[in-house]
Amino acid sequence: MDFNSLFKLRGELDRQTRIILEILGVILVLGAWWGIATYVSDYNVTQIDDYELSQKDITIKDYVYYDNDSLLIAELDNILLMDEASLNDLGLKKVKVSILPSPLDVVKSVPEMFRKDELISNIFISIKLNMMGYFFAIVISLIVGFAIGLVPLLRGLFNRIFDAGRFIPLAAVTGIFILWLGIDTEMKVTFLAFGILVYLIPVVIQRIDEVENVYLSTIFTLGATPWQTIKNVYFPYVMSKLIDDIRVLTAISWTYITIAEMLNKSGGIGQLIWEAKRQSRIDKAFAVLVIIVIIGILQDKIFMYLDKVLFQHKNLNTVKN
Amino acid sequence: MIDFIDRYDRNNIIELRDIHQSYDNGKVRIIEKMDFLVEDKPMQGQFVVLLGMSGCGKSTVLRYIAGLQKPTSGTVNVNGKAVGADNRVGMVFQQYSSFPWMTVLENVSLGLKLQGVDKKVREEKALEMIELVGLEGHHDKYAQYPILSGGQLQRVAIARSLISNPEIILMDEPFGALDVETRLSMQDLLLSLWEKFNSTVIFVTHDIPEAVYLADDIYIMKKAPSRIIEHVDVNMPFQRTFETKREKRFIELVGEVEQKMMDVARLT
Repeated sequence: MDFNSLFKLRGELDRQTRIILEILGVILVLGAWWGIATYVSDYNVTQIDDYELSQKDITIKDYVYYDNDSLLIAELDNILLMDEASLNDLGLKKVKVSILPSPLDVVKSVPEMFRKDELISNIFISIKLNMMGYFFAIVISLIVGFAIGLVPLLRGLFNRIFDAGRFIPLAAVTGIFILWLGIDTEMKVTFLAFGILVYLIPVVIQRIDEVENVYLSTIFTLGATPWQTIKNVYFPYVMSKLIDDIRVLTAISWTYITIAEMLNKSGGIGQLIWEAKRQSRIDKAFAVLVIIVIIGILQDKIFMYLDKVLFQHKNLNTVKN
Repeated sequence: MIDFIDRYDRNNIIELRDIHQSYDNGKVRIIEKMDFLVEDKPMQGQFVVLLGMSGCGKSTVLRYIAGLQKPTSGTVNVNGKAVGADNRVGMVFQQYSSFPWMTVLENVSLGLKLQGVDKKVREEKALEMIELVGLEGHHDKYAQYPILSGGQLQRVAIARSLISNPEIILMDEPFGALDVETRLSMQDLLLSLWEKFNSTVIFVTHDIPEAVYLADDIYIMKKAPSRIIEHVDVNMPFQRTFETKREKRFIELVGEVEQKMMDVARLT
């Protein structure tokens, strides 16, 4: 492939060039990461990992520094001015930390997380939470989306309202959900489901609008009832498109799970990130991020596989098995 | 203007009377004072072609008969009854209308499935119909382009319409998107099916030789506000074949229809 064609608008890459570029991209990002990790660092105050509160003569006023993350951040300027001994009395220590952990540190932190942080069970807690979120989001979106998309009365009443729902800042509504549902699984699943369905409902309606008239006219002339039209045209048409939308939108859920799992200490991969942050273990936080990305890619593959199995007509198979 | 005269001794399978179609609160008038009667000829069927310029409402007439649209005013009867759920008529469109998520077999048997016909029975009938339209061996393929060609997809659509209601078939430029060779073979297929099922076919086209080759009767619509303004009785014997198109009578008829089309185009 000649050099100029690499810059041709919407030009195609041949397979070999694409693979070389993809590998090169990974090397470039890792290199930049490594460079920043090695040369850019800063002081930070962090908790002492094995600090024994009971053995210290610590006042309640000081204890709050240890216990309360936000206070630590609010008072950070003053804390940074304290000497090492005063910090130690508060269960804190001053460390020089790199802004980025090196890729090697990230990899090394994984076995430690297996040992100390119950990585596997926390991953499964998050996956379970997400699955429950997906399930409710998809079921509710299909019911609401089909109802609004198909029935003019409901469309007139609610379409604009649901469309406006996309602008709700989801991170900000956690407080409301906590107020309604507490801080346990019920709230987290509701939050995750809500995070997906505000986007998914308008997409379902849009997909219903996209059903081509010729299919509707054809089934009408064959004498179909409205229910038969839904079953034989709307549903298969919309679902075959929607699986791609679901695949893209459920990725959002991994963004929100970190918020949901911050709220109480009932485990999950999001909680691991927050703990890592409190201990200034950016290497661990990065490791968790990488794990989330890997899970995300696997999840994507599963959706693509499902798409292939459930909607064979979308792929190139010429004969139904 | 053509006067469709009712005869006491004949039934009309399709009856459109005093049809008006306007849009935008009467500002745009598409069809005005239109009558269109098609006589029922049991055991014989008939092939009626509607000709006219684009936008004159030919497809709209088919949509009335299919129940897909209601005229602004006027009555539309099929088999003596107002168009409704119990006298639906199959229609073949110019666009490929086969459901791409279904196989050929599922597409063709769909009408029977909707009527609640048992799976085994409907599949048997569908396979017969698939064979009749020349698609044997393709029943397990998904009905989508390019797995099936354009002509094959229209064969699926014709089979699907015939199996549900062979009595009447509406065809809205069904061969408009096909290449010449496929188009010609589809015309012959259609004629053979028509003779087998004795259907009443209402066929919309722009192609005058196609109209003459297929039709018993050709009706020409004027431009909007439209109605049927000319009738040509083709009056050529069946079986028509490729040689028919070389016959003097055929060439004369094509000339006659062309002339009438040009005359109609000048009318306001």
